[in-house]
Amino acid sequence: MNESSTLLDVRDLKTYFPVRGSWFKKLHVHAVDGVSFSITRGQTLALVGESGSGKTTVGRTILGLIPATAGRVDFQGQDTTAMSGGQIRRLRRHMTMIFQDPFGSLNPRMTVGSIIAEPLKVHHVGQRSERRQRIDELLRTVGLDPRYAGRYPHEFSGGQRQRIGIARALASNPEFIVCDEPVSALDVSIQSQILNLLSDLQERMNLTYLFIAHNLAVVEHFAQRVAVMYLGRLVEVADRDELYNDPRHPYTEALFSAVPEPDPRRRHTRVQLEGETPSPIFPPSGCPFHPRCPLTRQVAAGHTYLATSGVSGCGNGKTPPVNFKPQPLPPGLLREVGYQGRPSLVVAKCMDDVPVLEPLSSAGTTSSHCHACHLRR
Amino acid sequence: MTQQSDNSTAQAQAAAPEAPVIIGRSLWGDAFYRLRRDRSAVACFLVIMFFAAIAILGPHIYSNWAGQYDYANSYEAPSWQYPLGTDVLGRSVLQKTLLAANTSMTVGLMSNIIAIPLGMILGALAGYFGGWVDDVIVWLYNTLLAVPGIILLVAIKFAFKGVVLFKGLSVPLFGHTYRPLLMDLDQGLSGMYIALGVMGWIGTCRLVRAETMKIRELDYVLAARSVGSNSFMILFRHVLPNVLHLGIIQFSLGFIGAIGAEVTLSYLGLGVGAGVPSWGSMINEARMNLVVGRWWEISAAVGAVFLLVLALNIFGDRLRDAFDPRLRVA
Repeated sequence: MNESSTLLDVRDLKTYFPVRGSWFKKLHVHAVDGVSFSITRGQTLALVGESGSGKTTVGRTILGLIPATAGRVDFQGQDTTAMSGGQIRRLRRHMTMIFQDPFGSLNPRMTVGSIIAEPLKVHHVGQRSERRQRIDELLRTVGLDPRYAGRYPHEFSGGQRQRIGIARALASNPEFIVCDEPVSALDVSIQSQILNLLSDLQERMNLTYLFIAHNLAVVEHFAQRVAVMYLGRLVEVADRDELYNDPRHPYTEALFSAVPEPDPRRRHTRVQLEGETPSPIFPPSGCPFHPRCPLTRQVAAGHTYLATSGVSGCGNGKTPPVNFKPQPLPPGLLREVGYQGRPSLVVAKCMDDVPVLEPLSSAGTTSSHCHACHLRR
Repeated sequence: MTQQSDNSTAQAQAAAPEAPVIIGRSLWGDAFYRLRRDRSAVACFLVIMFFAAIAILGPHIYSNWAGQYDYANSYEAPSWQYPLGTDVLGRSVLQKTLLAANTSMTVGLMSNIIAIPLGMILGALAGYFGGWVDDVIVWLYNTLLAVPGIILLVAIKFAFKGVVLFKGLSVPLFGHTYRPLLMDLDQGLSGMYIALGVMGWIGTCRLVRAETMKIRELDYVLAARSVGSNSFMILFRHVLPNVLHLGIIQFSLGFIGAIGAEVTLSYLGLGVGAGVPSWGSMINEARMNLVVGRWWEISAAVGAVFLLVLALNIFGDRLRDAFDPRLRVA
């Protein structure tokens, strides 16, 4: 990844929403809490995570639809978080969005033609007749009959409406499109059509996607790079195959083990997470995953191999050497926390230090694989 | 599903550019289609149109009627010559009742022309922008609501006593000229339109505000912002078209309120001036006569009010049914 091919670079992005607190203390939902990644031109980065992890907020903050609390978003080398409202509006010619809900994202009182023409009108592109031609062209591009331009959204099926949404996103010839769960509201048979359409378009127009999804099978099919989000933070970023073959963060492992296994004969080991996602108003200290992390409990109980008792620098932390003997860690490295009403031991570092998203250092892996787990360093 | 979509792809490639454009049916078209099929809605619409026609034709018989003084015939019981009897001056009560339709329709129309746009614009602004804009508008209508209605009406009416709206207005209509009778007879009445307008926008404003707050959070508004639209474009292209039906429903219901208020005010002697035919003043004049058995004047006025208000009420309900997006067939 050289600098010139990076289209979008997000650095330490934070988006907080104010919620009603007491008079003296303002409370915030930490929807996005220090997210950094970059996307290469012409590629797709998938952002996965459970609902409430802040994926959608990341997408909307990048487009400037929600103001960022801190951090910067460099699009084509310009920091969009520092732009005025008018500058941002002009920039939206180049970065657009495809929405999840094909029923809610089209104004029911406008014809399909005028919905698609809206970006052109807003940016004063072309004359009336030119716009008309462009609408025809766009409808054909997304696989719809141009004669339907005079129809209304309620006269179309879900998949067709999603195509209309895509046509609108393409109208101003953007370079970057945020796809906010574009297929999760559709039937499975339609999903693949829409995904194929999106990848065709990417190839033809050299589009760059931020693909927000929770369906890991779809992501595997579609993205070159995958970022995993948990509670407003990235826990792991890697190239697709790398991540699917060798997930490093315990949360990623748990997430992947939740994917349904189509083969009934295969034994499926499921990492079952206990408890619920903590409140983003009062996020946990240190690693956001520590209250639910199975690894830190296993390590604290001495059931899992770690190369050094100092907890850091343990290689991949997965394969114990032959002569491994489980041993409890020295008590100074442990903390006792209340966990679902009973005391439980976790590694102190997990509670105290906020983990940084760092490349793998061990040999044999590419440096583009980053994760944020203290224990698997 | 798959096949259908494949077909459309194939068609898209086959379609020639000069092929005729298929025109879809808008939600408006849908609503009017449903309204047309609804018999009670059509019947009520015809009743309303009947009153509107009388209102338009009224001024043509006014001068004839107004000069009918015949004290010898005062308080005649209904007969073939006077189907609804005569009033104290010996004039036909039937004609008076019909002429009063002009008064009621004019008051209903004028006050709603003021109230509905005011309510819609303020409601959309309050709902869309929120914050201090919302606070100011909500404070304004809560303050107005805190004052007893009749007192406020009278106060505003007298505050605007000197103001004359639409002086000598005449609208050419189907070969006739619609001249609001009242405007010639009682120019002080402009104050009443303004008063009713100022009172009438609150309901519309609340409804539109609530609906706008809902629409503001919808994806198509976000989509409009994501392609670069500013607040002005979003308000006029996305929010107002989606709350316009509320305005139409409120118009038909506001009509009832205005007619009712005019009748009440005229009954109290605070409404239209002396000599202007009005159902309210008819009831006022006739209430002493009921005990001595002269029932026709009050019956005519009450019957006319009843018929028009009933028709407007049912029509307003049917409008609401036709426009309600939740009842829409996709």
